[in-house]
Amino acid sequence: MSDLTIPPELFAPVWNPASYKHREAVEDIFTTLRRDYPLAKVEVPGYDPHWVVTKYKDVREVSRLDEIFHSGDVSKTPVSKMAEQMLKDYSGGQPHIFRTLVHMDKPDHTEYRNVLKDIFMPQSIATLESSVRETVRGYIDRMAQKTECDFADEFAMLYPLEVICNLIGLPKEHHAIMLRLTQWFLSYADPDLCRPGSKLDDPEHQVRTWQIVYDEIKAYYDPVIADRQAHPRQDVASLIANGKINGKPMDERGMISYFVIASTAGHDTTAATMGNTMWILARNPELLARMKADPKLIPGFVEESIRISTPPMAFIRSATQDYELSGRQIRKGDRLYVSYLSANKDEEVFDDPFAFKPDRTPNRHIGFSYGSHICLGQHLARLEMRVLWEELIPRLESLEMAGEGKWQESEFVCGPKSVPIRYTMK
Amino acid sequence: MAKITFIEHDGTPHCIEVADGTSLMQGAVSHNVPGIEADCGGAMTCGTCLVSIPPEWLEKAGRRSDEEAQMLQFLGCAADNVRLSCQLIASPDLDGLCVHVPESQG
Ligand code: HEM
Ligand code: FES
Repeated sequence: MSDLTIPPELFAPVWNPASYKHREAVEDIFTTLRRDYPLAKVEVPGYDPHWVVTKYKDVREVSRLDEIFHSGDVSKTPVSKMAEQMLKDYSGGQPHIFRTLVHMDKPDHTEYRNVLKDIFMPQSIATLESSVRETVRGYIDRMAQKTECDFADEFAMLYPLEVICNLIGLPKEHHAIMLRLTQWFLSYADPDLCRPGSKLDDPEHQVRTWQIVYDEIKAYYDPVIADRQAHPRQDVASLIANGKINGKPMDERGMISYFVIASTAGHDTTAATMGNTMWILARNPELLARMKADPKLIPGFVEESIRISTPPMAFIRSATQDYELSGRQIRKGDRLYVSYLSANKDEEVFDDPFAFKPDRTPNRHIGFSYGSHICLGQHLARLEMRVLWEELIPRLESLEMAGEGKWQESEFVCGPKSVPIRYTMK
Repeated sequence: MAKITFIEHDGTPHCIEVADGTSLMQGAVSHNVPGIEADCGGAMTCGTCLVSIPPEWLEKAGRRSDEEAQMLQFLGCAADNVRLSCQLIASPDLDGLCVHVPESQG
C-alpha cells in the first residue's frame, strides 16, 4: 500500500539545484517515489505543500486537463513562499517575473500561441532543413580541425543558439549576448553559469536577479521591437513585435516574455539534449558503431535522446477544482509538481527505462510535455538534432571522453555544462 | 451526443459517446482509446490523432480546413478519407460513425 505523504528529507534534494551535479541520485529518488509514493504530497519546510506526480499516466492526465490544472496561477518552478510573495510584488501580482506561454492558460494561451503557430508547424519547419544542415556543417568542420573539444560548451550550446537566433532574426554578433542572458535566466543557481554577483544561497536575491535579467532582456529587445514595428521582415521578431492579442497589440511584459521564451526555450533544452547524448555516445563505442552501421536509426536515436535527457524536468500546476487522480483526492487550489523526468523513466511504460535504445518502439516519451502546452519548437528541435547526427556520426572514426563531464546545477532545465571529448574525424 | 466506434488497427472496437460540440479526439482520449495519442491536445500541430472514415460519411463529417489539409499532406496522408480526429466535431449527424485508427498509431 502506497503512502500519502512523502518524507520531506527523501524529497528535498529534488528541489535543491546543487543535487543535479549527480543527476543519477535524483533519478534514484524518483525510482523510489514511483514505487512507494507514486502520487503523494510533500511538505518541504518553507514551501507550500505539493503533490508530486511521478507516473507517466498521471503526468499525461494532468498535462492534458489544462483547464482543471492551470499553468498560470502559481509559480511554475518550486520557489519558497517568501520568494513567491516577492515575485508577486515585482510583477504586479503575478507569481512569476516573466509571463510566457508556459505561464498562461486558455483563452490567453491560445491567442498568444497563435502568433507563432504557423511558423512552427512541421510543414514550415521542414523548409528550414537545408539551412540548418549548412549551419551544423560549419560547426562540424570546425570540430574536425581539432582532436579534442568540450562538446557542451563549444558545440551544443552554440549551434541551436545560432539556429534560433537566425530564425528570430538576430544578427550573429548578438548571439553571445543571448547565450549569456539565457543562462542567467535559466541557470541562475549554477555557480559557473549564473549572473555574476548572484547570491546562490539567498532565494530572495535570486528573485531580484530575475528582475534585473528581465530589465536587461528588455533593454536588448526594445530597439529590435521598434525596428520590426517600423520595418517588418520575414522573421520571428517581426511576428512577435506586431503580434495581436484579441485584435490588440501585446502588452509589454507579454511581448518581452514572448521573446524570452522563443530565445531561451529554443536553445538551452536542445543544447542539453545534444550534450548529454554526446556524453552517452562517448562512453558507448557499441552504440556509435551501431549508429554508423545503420543511419536509419537516427530518428529513433533522437527520440530516445530526448527521453533519456528530459531537459525541462518538471513544471508546477495548480488545481482549479477538486479532481480525483489515480484514486487520490486533489482539492481546488492544490499544487502539483509534475515530473517529466520521472514519467520518462516509468518502468510500467518503458522497459529497462535507464537503457538507451535507439530502436525503442513505441517511444511515446513526454519530454516535450503533452496537451495544449506541448513544446512549440518540437519539430525544430527534432530537425536540429536529426541533421546533427546525420552529419556528424558518419564522420566520427573514434570517440572517447577526454575527462570528466559535468552537469549543470539546475533543478529546472538541466543538461551537462561540460562534455570533454577526444576523437578522430574524416 | 454521437455514438462513435473507434476500431484499432488490430480490429478491436471501442464504442463511445461523444458530447455534441466536442471533438472525436477529446472523446477518444477521455475514454482511453488506444492509438489516439493527440499529443497537442487539438492544436493541430502534432498529427497523432489520425483516423480514417468510410467514404459515405465524408460529407457529413464536413470539409477539411486548409490548415488540416496541409498537415495531412505533410504527414503523407493524401487520401480523402483520412482526417485529424481533433477536427471532427460530434453532432447528431455523426451518430453511428465508425472510424479506423491507422497502424502508424498502433
Ligand atoms: C530537445 C529540445 C526541447 C525540449 C526537450 C523541449 C521541451 C519543452 C517542454 C517540456 C515544454 C512544455 C512546457 C509546459 O508543459 O508548460 C516546452 C514548451 C515550449 N517550448 Fe520547447 N523544448 C525543446 C526545444 C524547443 C525549441 C527548439 C523551441 C523553439 C523555439 C522551443 C520552444 C518552446 C515554447 C515556445 C514552449 C512553450 C509552449 C507553451 O507553453 O504553449 N522548445 N518545451
Ligand atoms: S491532436 Fe494534435 S493534431 Fe489533432
